[in-house]
Amino acid sequence: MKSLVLVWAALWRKPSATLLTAGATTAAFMLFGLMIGLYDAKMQMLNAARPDQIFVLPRYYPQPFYGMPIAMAGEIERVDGVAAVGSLNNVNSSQRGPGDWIVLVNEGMRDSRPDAPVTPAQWKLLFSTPTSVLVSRDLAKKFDLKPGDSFPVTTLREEGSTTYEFQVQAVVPEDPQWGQGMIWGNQKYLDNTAPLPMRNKANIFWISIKDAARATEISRAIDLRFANSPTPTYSIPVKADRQTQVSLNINQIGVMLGVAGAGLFMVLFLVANAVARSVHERLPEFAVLHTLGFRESRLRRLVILEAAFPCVLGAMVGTALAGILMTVPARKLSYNLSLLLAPTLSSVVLAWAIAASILLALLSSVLPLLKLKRTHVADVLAGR
Amino acid sequence: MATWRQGVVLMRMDLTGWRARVGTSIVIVLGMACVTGVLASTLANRAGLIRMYDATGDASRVMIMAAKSPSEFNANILPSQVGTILNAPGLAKGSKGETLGDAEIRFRVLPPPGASWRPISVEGIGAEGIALRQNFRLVAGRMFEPGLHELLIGRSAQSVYGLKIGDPILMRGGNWTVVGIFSSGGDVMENGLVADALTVMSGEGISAFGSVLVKLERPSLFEPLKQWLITNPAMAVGAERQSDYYIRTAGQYLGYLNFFSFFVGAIISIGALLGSVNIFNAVVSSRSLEIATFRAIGYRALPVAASVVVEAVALALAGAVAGAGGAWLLFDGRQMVTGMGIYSMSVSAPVIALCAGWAVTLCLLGSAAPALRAARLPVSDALRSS
Repeated sequence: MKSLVLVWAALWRKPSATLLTAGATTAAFMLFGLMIGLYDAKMQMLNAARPDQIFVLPRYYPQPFYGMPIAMAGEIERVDGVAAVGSLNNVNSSQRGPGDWIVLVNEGMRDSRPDAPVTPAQWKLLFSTPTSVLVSRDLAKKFDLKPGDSFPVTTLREEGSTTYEFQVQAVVPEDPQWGQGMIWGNQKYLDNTAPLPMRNKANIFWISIKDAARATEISRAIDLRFANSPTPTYSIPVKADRQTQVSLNINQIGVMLGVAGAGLFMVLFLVANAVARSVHERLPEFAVLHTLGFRESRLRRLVILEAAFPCVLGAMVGTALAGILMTVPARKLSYNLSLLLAPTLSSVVLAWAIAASILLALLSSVLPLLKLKRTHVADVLAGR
Repeated sequence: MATWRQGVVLMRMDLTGWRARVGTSIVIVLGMACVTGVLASTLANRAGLIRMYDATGDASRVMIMAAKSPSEFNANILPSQVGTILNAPGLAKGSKGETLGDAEIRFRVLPPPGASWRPISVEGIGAEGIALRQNFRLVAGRMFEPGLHELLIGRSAQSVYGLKIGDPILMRGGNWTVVGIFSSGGDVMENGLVADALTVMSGEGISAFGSVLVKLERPSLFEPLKQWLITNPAMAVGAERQSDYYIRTAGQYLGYLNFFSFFVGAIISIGALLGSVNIFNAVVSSRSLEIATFRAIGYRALPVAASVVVEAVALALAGAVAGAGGAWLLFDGRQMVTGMGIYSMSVSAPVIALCAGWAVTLCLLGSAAPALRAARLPVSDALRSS
């Protein structure tokens, strides 16, 4: 307790310097929170990818492209080892908003995605009316949507613009396999109302298999079945797909981590400089404390605590600011900023920030502690 | 002594006496190095993408596409329209008197399993396709034969997809074989596969071209060509310079890269700014006796303040050189694979200049208040307290 009183007094000896240092660490940790938040979201998606599921995509995309016939699902189901087949299509909005995230699924998804965070009752709600959508928690927050809300989405295609009116049936937990939030709609809506070439089409089949060890073999079997059809397929195990995406984006991930690291590296020197100056100016005070019986370990603790204050405060405030930014509804942000924000700030990011702040405090105390160690009490008290 | 002379004396003293403040100087330099390093490395991404687009077309290369949906991926130029387009005024001629224009098509296929799941583009070119691209050269293998299922792969694409000569690419109607590797100066074409336009269109069942690429006699003939095309009621086509086309199609992504650079640059700069105010305050405090002495012997306030600012600017420039230099060493030429293509990051001269300006501005802002404090330091108080 005595130590805390001394640290507190030391910090407020020069309030402006303490606040400026804390401000600098806050900015660095805000950046850290934003970048690590994005990195964490990518990694969570990779780790959540199921080894017993496969994506089936069109092998090529002739223009204009409307998708694969949904009737292919029945053919895929007959491939040995396939457990269930779900189909996905999407509605792309011509305006920014929830329309960017709407994926229309068919009833097959209920069985092909048994891991989806959707209860049987919510599945039933989704398929009860064509206009139903299920919105994940983060996107509901982002777009300020709740059960019962309706929102229009206008698409703009060569075939003409179409306006779809969706109704939120339920807010569901995040799907760890989905990454940046999801809005699932009912494929029947598209089949009933879209321009004719777009009806009964799927962009992706999401299938589950009985044995994860046979994922590659089953992928090849599906592709062989459609090799000479008008719609050849390209099948890839979900796990392999996510790994490929992460490895292709490794440069971007490197940039994210590099930016986060550069911010911390910068404040490391700022904090170290502030603490070194404080220790230098207070050498007589340390000498007196030592004379009064404060052990060296206790003096060291004082210095480390003094360094830790702006670091931990900056980590908490900076990460909180990043978190607050992520809760702002997307429509109130610029489109580019909304892309930069992870859907939520997980507790992992906060834990990383606190750990980084403690490491920062320890590293920035090294030089001041060495200086303190080399100081002779008698010399300082004598003013030498 | 004249004010400017006083300033020179003080600045010389400041700059030669930096050893006395080596710790704080290093912190400022490293802080600015981090800011400029982050800014340079993120801007290098955008600069690399723009460089790829610039390499794709000089000002005299023009793409003619359907007016309704101007994209080379939309096959909307009928073969019957191509002859009329190539008869447009102002088009350059080749050595044999042929018009330098080529009807082309572009679409995407998926590479073989194991290479990557990212779709790769196939560009179908015609007889003048190579003549229009002066940077095009074959680096391995041979040219494709029209009529055969043969492809070339760009050097950038090859380094990402790992495909080599002899590898098959499954397209409608069977496998196509990679027979050569080409380079085209790191442009968009180098990101994908190239084949004979008529052969791929026949294989894929595509009945129209996506664009007609033409070369103008001189860049200033672009507007007359455009007018000639859009006023022809039978055509329904539009014209766009090739480099502008790619900048337009990548506009949203370029905007995002720009935003990302300046957003992260701004946040890290706030940290650096607060830190530099703190440090320059400490520098002025530690020099209060020296400043008061100069003021006591007749030095004016302006040169005293200017000396603080000049020191800040010198440190900012040193930091900018360190940061931009570090970014250049780490990222210049580093390959990026994004949805917009495969390109190398570029820590170019404009990027470095922007970073230097950014660092200098930050240090000017950071040193302004401490410089004012130095200028207003009450001489007697400073001498007494020291």
